[in-house]
Amino acid sequence: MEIRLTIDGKSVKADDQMTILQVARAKGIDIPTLCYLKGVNEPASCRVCVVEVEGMRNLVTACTTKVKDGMVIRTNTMRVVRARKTALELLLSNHNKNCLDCPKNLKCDFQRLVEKFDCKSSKYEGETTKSVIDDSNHSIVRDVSKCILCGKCVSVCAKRQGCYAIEKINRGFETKVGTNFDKPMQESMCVGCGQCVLVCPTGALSLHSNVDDVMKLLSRNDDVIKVAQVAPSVRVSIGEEFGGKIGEFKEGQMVSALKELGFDYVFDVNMGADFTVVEEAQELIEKLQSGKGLPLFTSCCPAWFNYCEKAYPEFVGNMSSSKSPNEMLGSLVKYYFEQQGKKVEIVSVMPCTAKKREIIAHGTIDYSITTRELGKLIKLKNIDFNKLPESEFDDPFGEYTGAGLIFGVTGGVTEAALRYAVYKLTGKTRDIIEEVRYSDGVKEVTTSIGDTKINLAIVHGLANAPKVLDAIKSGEKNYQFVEIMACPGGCVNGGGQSFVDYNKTDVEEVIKRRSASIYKADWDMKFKQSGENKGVAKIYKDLLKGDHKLIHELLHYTHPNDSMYLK
Amino acid sequence: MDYKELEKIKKKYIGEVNFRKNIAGANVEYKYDIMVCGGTGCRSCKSKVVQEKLEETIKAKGLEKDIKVHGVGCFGLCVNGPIVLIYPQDALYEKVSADDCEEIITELAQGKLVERLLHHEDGQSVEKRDDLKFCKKQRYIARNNSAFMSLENILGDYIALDGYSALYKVLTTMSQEDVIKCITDSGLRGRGGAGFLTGQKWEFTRIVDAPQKYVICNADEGDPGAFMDRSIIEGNPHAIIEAMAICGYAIGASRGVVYIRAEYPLAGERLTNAIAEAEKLGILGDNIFGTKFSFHLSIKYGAGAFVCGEETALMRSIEGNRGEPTLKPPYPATKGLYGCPTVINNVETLANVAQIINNGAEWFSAIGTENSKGTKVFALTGKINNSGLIELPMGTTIREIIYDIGGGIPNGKKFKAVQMGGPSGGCIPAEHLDTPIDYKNLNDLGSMMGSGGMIVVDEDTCMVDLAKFFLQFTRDESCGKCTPCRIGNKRILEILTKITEGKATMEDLDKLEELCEYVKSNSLCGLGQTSPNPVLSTLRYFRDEYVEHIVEHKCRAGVCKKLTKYTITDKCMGCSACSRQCPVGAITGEIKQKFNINQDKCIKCGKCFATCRFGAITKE
Repeated sequence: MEIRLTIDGKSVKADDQMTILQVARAKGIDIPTLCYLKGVNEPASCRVCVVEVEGMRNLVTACTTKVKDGMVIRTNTMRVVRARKTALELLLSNHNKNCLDCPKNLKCDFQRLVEKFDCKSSKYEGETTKSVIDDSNHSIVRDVSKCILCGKCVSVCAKRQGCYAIEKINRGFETKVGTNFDKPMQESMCVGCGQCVLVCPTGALSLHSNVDDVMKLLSRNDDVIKVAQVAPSVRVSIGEEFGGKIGEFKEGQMVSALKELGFDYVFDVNMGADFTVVEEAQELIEKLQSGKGLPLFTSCCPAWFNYCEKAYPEFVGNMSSSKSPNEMLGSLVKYYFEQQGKKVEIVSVMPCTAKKREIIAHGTIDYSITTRELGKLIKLKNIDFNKLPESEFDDPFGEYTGAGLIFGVTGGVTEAALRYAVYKLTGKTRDIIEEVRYSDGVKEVTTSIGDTKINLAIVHGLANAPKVLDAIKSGEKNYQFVEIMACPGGCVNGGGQSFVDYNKTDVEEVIKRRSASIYKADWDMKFKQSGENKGVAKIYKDLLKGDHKLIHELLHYTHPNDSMYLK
Repeated sequence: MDYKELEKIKKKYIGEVNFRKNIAGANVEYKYDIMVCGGTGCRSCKSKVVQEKLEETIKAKGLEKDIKVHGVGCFGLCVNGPIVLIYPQDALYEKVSADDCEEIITELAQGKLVERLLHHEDGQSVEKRDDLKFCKKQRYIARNNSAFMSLENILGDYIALDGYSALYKVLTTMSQEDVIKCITDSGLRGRGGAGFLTGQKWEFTRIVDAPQKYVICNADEGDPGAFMDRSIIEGNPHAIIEAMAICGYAIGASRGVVYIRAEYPLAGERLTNAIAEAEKLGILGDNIFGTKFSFHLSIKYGAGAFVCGEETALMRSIEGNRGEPTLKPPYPATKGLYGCPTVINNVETLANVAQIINNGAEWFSAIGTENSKGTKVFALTGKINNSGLIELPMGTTIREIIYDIGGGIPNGKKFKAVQMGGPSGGCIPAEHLDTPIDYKNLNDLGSMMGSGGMIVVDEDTCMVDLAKFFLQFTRDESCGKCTPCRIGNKRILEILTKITEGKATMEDLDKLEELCEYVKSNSLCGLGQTSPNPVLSTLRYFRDEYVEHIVEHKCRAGVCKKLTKYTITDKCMGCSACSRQCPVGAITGEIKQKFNINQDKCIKCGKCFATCRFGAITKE
């Protein structure tokens, strides 16, 4: 219902289902928040968004208070400002103030507000939470002394990712975010997806940085060949690191930047994805024919792989043995240069934090850095990213089809596999398979490849995984192929992508824009089906020489022995 | 189960009950009934042993036909436990031990009482329980009849005392609206803290259309020193079950949950048994009394978090989540347990319900004051002679409680203040002793009714230290969710500590006040919104003590150790007794000469002060 209210003296119209915060933001009035994350975390606990409402004794939290007809709201009175300042100063009084060497320095939401409200750390002095750094996890590093207990990480881990790896523990001033029984992160349910890091307003959650390692690698003057290989969705986020719009397609500049950084070769994981399609589709066809080992689960998402091993170990055997595009390409690159008697070191650039664990488990790739770390490296090298000319990936691992590119979006693996399987089994082409795209979390599709009808499920956001997995377990559902991506929206919204201010752009919008950018590039591609990748065919023929044993060795896991978690 | 069966049970046991009540209709074959308190307080001082010893003695003397022994619910005068009641004399023995049993039985066999075990007032023993000063002004509604019900036959005795007749009346003759009107008209307000009108709460829940609703009994009694809810459940669990069923009928709920703290094992056990008994008899379950109404009750044990007494946190805890309060609105009436409309009532509130139904709204509303009807149970503790549980009509003055019922302050000390309402309440100083207790008056004084805790303090209590004690409690018990409560209370406590150590400045006092006001008006739930009250109220009435600590570095009560200084005066005879007692060797000197205390070494334990026979050591 439309109502009228007054906010800071201005009469405005609003829907009565909206909160004060939503109305204010829609009208361009800034109300600071620390704990609010739309639809996921609305605990009204940081008390920074308080505003004055006429007739109310106490200040109210804008994030949770619904507007009413005739409401008179003031967002900027001195009473409001003082209350906000006190909340911030109290938080500051128990905050690790070693900001200069914090990974979030100058990017910290809390720091920004402390500066804005002119807070004094000396106002309330007293005991502080001791800094305990938990870096047991291969992806995520935690420091409780920087935590302001906004609870976003806990909510995201539970509600979006369904992992429940972290929860608030203890009581009173001793309250902190921790794992079950306060065990190290690595022993928790954490799958390393990094979604918590994306929403942390401070530096309490950060990543294991490999920036220094890569700098060292690139400064070495030896005969080792330095290779960078880049995942599909990095190119639609890297621009954001340099002030670009969310989702801008910056492939050319990105390749130039990597070359400027000093990599000898810049290869495209998209091509690795094309290999994955060929191998995985083959695997699916074989399984469909034998009727064994179904459903086949995609295994390219390492966070999902971790999750499966921790929460549903009974399905590990159903995981596709085809390596992830990153690992496939890494194996091929290594083999390629080794054949020439050359040493090679590989850095993969990923939208993903869990990949840091995947590469350690498999030992082919040397470092996996995130989009944000690449941004950092480019800045360190003083490269003006936005002025870079566009360059192309290097041969022989630079050629890709649309199918490889769309791996970055939820549904992409399925679509790519379908495109290939349809071609392979029927000789026909089906380029755009709309029905597998865009979903709320779980998408079920029944489609036919020639005469074979298959049931597919596409899942993104791990919290949705049990819906499908439990249904399979109970026999309620019968799928032949299941794609699961841990992060909501798929890799475009991976835990290693550029930070976004969710106060300005909802995560749904972020996913939409980055996905659209990928789909557009796919649309523009001449070849959309992995079988059409001439480079792939050439590698199979010239490098792998059609040797099945070699192909299997390089492109497949011999799981479940290759299990990442159990190692 | 129908009414006839209820009547049958009533008939079976009414004789025993009337015998204890010493009224007409007592048709028992035995001569005496001994009831041994089975409340947690008395049990902890071995009342169970006393009961067994009594039974043994009776058996040995072959008096089984003449004397019966039963357990009974808490009687209230807990400080003097174990308590034993003798019927039909209605005498009260206190501090009874197993060694007394022989004498009790021998005397009782001859119809005599043991004088030395009776309660003494002004040097005189009091034979009749009702003549005790402790009892005279009390009026029992919430704790009604609990002194007459045998724990071994709790359901039978409860029914004999009209138990479950209110539920029968409600189910067979009243509409939902009638029930709510009756409760609303009675003026019953929540006894758990905020004092919201119970009838209104029920009505808000009734009018919501939902397939599932819940009744929750909040038995997560967490205020330090308060234990009325425990005692009610232990002594009269069926009153709660009946009230919850009545509420369930009134609001349209078929399920109830009692949220009880796990630290109350006895109460939990008795309630579990009572529920099983009621189910067996068909008073709980499907189609109660042959009507369409069904009601199922379960128990959920709390894990010992104070904040889980807050209703939203309590519901989260039942749901299996971390016990953290959530924002209101939505109120439980619209969105409560599992998202369903829910009524949450405290134990004591519920204990009034059946009697209001049976006796009518006017009966209840005739008791008490303008805005507070009925009675209130208080847990009287601290520097008071008769500590224990008391139930009084609203409007009783604090003075009556302290001096008439409580028997005044021990050791002739001076009354200083009473902390009412637990950690959320505030202190009330001597100048307000004549205030009639009701919700409004207490709020006006900066305190609150809360759950009814009354902690009496005398001149030996430091008010800053008292505030510090409560802030320590809230610092530990805050759920840690919102900033003001989690960090604010911690900082308040730190400033208080600074004051008690003589390290604070007057600016700190301003900061303290400002911070208290901030936490009070900005916290998310009731815990944080009331946690600064002990500081604010002591600041209101005892500001000079704060200033004294800060400016003069003096604690007049001699409690704050860092501000206390022991010195040896010229009265010293040089006996060296103090020196030998000193645990840290801070006192030195030569025999027959004046000794000295090394202030740097002194840990202010006070042993020297207590040891000196010449009054030569001063404490300031």
